[in-house]
Amino acid sequence: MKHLFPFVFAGCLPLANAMQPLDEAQMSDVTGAGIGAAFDNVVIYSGDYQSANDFQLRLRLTDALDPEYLTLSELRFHRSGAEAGGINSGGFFGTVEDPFVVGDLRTITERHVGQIDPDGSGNDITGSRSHTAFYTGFPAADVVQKNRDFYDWSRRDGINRVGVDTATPRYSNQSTTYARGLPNNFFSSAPSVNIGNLTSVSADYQAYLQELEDRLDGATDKFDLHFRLDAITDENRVLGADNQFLAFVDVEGARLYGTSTYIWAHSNQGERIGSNLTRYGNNGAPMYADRGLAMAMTTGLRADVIRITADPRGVAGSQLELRGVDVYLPLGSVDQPLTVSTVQFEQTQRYTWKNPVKLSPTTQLRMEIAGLPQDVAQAPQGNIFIQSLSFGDALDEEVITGRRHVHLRDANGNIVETVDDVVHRAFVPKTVTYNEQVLRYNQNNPNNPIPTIPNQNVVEIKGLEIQRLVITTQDLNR
Amino acid sequence: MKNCIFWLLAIGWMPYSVAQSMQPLADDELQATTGQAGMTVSARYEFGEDTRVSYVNEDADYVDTQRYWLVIDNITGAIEFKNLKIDLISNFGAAGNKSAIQITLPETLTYSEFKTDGVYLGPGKEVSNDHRFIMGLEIDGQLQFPAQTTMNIFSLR
Repeated sequence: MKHLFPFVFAGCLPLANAMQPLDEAQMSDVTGAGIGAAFDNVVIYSGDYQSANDFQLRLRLTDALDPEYLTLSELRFHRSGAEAGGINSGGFFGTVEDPFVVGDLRTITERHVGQIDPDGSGNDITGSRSHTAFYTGFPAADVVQKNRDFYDWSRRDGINRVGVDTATPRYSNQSTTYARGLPNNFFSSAPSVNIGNLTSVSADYQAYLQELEDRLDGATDKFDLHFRLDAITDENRVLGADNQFLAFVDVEGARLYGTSTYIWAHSNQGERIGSNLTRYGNNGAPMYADRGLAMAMTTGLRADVIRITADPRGVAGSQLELRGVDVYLPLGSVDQPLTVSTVQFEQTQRYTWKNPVKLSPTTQLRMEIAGLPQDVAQAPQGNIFIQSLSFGDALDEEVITGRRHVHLRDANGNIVETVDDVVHRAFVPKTVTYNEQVLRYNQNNPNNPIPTIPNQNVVEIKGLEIQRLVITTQDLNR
Repeated sequence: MKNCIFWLLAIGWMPYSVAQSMQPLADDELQATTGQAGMTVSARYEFGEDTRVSYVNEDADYVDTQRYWLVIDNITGAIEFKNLKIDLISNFGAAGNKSAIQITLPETLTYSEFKTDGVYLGPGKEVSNDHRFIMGLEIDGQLQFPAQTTMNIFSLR
């Protein structure tokens, strides 16, 4: 088999001899060419672990006679809510108008201004360099993240659109509210509270968020993903599957947005090994850090639920659920390329960290995001929103933080019903608990519904910026 | 295997023999070909001992003059799929007037002890004591595509 390829590729030689790399100006001329793809009836199914129709992907982690494995199995992917593996469980992914794109050549230009030589004449001018990049984009790649912080959204441009105080200043002589964004005393037992414009602003906010869902509905279905992870190690090699089990992972109601990758060849965009070279052999060799293949990747994910189950029989108490997830993470940009290279790295022998023993340098992989150019000043920002966390068993007293009355209010701020002793749980915002009662009330009173309120998030990580990032791999067994 | 060699040779010569005359088809020309190029493919690929993929960047300008190879060593096992369909269609899209290559994924994709001894990095196209083991990969079992999943590929022109 291996002797065949020289004959095969010999046929291409007359062409290969004539091929010359294009320079940036020539590359720019072909910008715009690309291939689109749209998928229909997407569904993948495999049987249970160790059953007749199972599927196992095993990563061998060690190069030994009895290696250690990480095994992925029970791979199931289908339209959200459908029966796994059913013939009607497929969903669509991409359309003609909004396809999966690959091979699109695009010109990207740095914001950084420096001395450049655009025509290769040796005469530098002041300007920004442009690169021709290979673009890959998922459906809805142009969509950006919505602001899921209602308090922040309702006070944009310095204007409090609700019209009444929605956060008590935390002076020492004042009470503290944890319901930022809602009129003060909204959750109190006061029969009537001035809620200002809350009802209309809340409706506007729901419409604002719904724009994203409507846009994504036209680009892709929501999908569910399930897989199982097992680990075979020296400690459990002779034990049963239950002892080798790591976790079930389930992602429900998920779809990507704003997800794309640019790849280009670059030279000297600010990456460097750093001032401390003592732990890198060959002065950071073999790969130059400041030239090679560069990437800029952005990933956006909306998911209703991400669940990790740590018991092979699926016991509720072993589950951790993230609900209402919205993650948007840029990784690299045209000014801060993400590069992957190899280096000779001198690592510290394990268990000698108190009195470090340095080992001979070995070849390792390094991922780097270049330093932020000073004149660019602002790196692309990412945000992570998680509406609530759940620990499986809703009746577990360990996660119940208390039982309090919930006072349901109409659109004018008047209490219409008080629900006694409603269970409140850890890592579930009060707004989520309140809205659960609103939905129950509205089902019982379909002719006199009351409004829900904007949900808060239990996790908000906002404005994630990478100034510079270097990750160098190490050997775990040394 | 002999058939396989023939087709690989044929594909290898193809760019040289036809490159001069290749022109992209317009949408109306593509529409005229609908239904004429459909085919269904079932296949099984078996990899013999010592099948290896080695890669090096000949043009790399390393500080270290040693050339480093990425080696996927000793690929063995088999991959089999049933009823992969390829067709040209002209009625794709919301307006029903877009031409595309439509690939219907196979009903099943079966891996039979498909594995590699490891992915290595080191000085030379064959694995030696100087190569670093990065990771091994083994795939076994069956993936099912029960809903006739289609992939429609089209030009962005």
